[in-house]
Amino acid sequence: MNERELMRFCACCPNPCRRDVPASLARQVESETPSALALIALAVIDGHLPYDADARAALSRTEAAHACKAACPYGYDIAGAVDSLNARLSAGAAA
Amino acid sequence: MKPVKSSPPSWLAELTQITGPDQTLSSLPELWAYARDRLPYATYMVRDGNLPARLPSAVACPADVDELRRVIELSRREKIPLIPFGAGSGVLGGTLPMDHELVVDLKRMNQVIELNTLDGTVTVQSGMNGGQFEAWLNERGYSCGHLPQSLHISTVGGWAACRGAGQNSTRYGKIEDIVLGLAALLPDGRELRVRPVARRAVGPSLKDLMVGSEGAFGIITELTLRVWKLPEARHSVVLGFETLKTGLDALRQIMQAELRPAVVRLYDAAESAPRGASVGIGEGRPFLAILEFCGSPRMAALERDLAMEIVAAHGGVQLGDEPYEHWCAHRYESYSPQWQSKDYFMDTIEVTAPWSALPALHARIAREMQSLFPGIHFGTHWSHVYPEGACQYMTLRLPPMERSEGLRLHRAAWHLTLTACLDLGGTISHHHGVGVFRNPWLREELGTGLELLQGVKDYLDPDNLFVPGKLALRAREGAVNLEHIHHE
Repeated sequence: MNERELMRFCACCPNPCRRDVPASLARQVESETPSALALIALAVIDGHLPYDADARAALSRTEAAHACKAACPYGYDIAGAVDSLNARLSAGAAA
Repeated sequence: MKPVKSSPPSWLAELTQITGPDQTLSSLPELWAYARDRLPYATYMVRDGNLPARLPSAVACPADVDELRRVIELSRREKIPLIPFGAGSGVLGGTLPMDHELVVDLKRMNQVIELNTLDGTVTVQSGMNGGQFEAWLNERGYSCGHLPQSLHISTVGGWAACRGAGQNSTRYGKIEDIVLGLAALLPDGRELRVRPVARRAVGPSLKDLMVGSEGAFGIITELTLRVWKLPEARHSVVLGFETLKTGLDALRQIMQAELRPAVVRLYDAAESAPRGASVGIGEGRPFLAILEFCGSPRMAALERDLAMEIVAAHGGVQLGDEPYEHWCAHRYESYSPQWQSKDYFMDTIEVTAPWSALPALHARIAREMQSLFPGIHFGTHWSHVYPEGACQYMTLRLPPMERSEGLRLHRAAWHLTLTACLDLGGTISHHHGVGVFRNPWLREELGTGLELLQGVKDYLDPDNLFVPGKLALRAREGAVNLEHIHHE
């Protein structure tokens, strides 16, 4: 599964891993859950959202999603994949 | 329509003063994430970068009831429509912004307030994750008995607002049977409190004005629920039946014999085949059923034995336990991502009908589905059963095709299903609720009753600010109308 297919799969997944978002996190924000991050990432990859400062900031908020890694029923590391995408796009934008 | 950033609303600074800059969202990517819920139509749109309806104007994440009240006061003063948001797991579009509503995310209000083991109750804030709530209870030897497939992707407040059901509802009831009392903020900011007591005779149920209102009448902030000690014993039974009729008859008689299975699942042939292959389903007995009895060891065993007498009288035979174990291992997972991510048009529709109507209802819908699109995947199971009838839970799946044609067929599948349900005396939803997608058929089902609900809505929310246009209530002028979209 390539990066885009992974993001599309996770964006379509109803987020069962979100149970591991710690209740104590100060931010309990939907757009920081794994499936929502994947939805944002997919839109950026497909050109439906611009990769600008807002997108870079949204894709950098992966603390909650990292906490969910062990709970993914399919064994994916979405937070890690989003971090990689964001780093690559950020480097490309700076170049 | 693609997501495009618009000017920030004039009241954003004041909202930010209430919930704080870190808890007030307005960037385009963040709003995009709140522009969908798990309505399959929304998935068909967002997977290709299209808005299902509109972007929200902003998102507020209040820390507590006081902040929520101040957000509501701002909403009232500035005439800002709003939508309370739990975990967005609804599948009828209940949290879709139709008119740039302000989304109020309640997940920071996520604490258990009190477990009362003498009364057998727990009081919890509405934004708590369902899986975390149940785990908290389990650690103390209790369960709330509400275990939906969406357990981990939903909030306790969402269960009540949408009048949901868990997979053990046959024993423990739907959420309206489990909620004893609640607190909610009304559209004018007043608090409504319903005392948590076992039963009352103080007029029509105010609790039920909120349970199932999907946020249109108020925002639930706190709930008191029944809890039960974790069962000492569980006895599972996997069964095969020769015909669907004998399977349904056996379930009906088990319920009418006043037995209380925790889990009851009967599958049609399409759903039985993949689940029962390992235990020989299809060889003369193509209909699979799973039962679970729980409680004290003696009572659970007795109820199982009495149920098995009924099963045997209907020609049912006991099979190996593998289908039950597989179901237990995957009961909180969804099969949908593998299909939705590959451009299939998948959806589920659940209705309730009397026992007398269920065989004809299933046969008619299955026949009409195949006429609509030969080769459509259509499977059914009955998993919430009562002495008087059962929930018929149907899964449909259309292959990848041009989106306009997929949407047309998807809409037609919904129409034939709910039309058959209404024709045969059923109700159009057992537990998924109405949201925005069921509006046309709810009007037909409720008739005069909908005028009563609209009257209540107009009294409570004269500016139509809370979740407008959902639950078949009046939409705001200029809001997106999904019924028009489907007919284009």
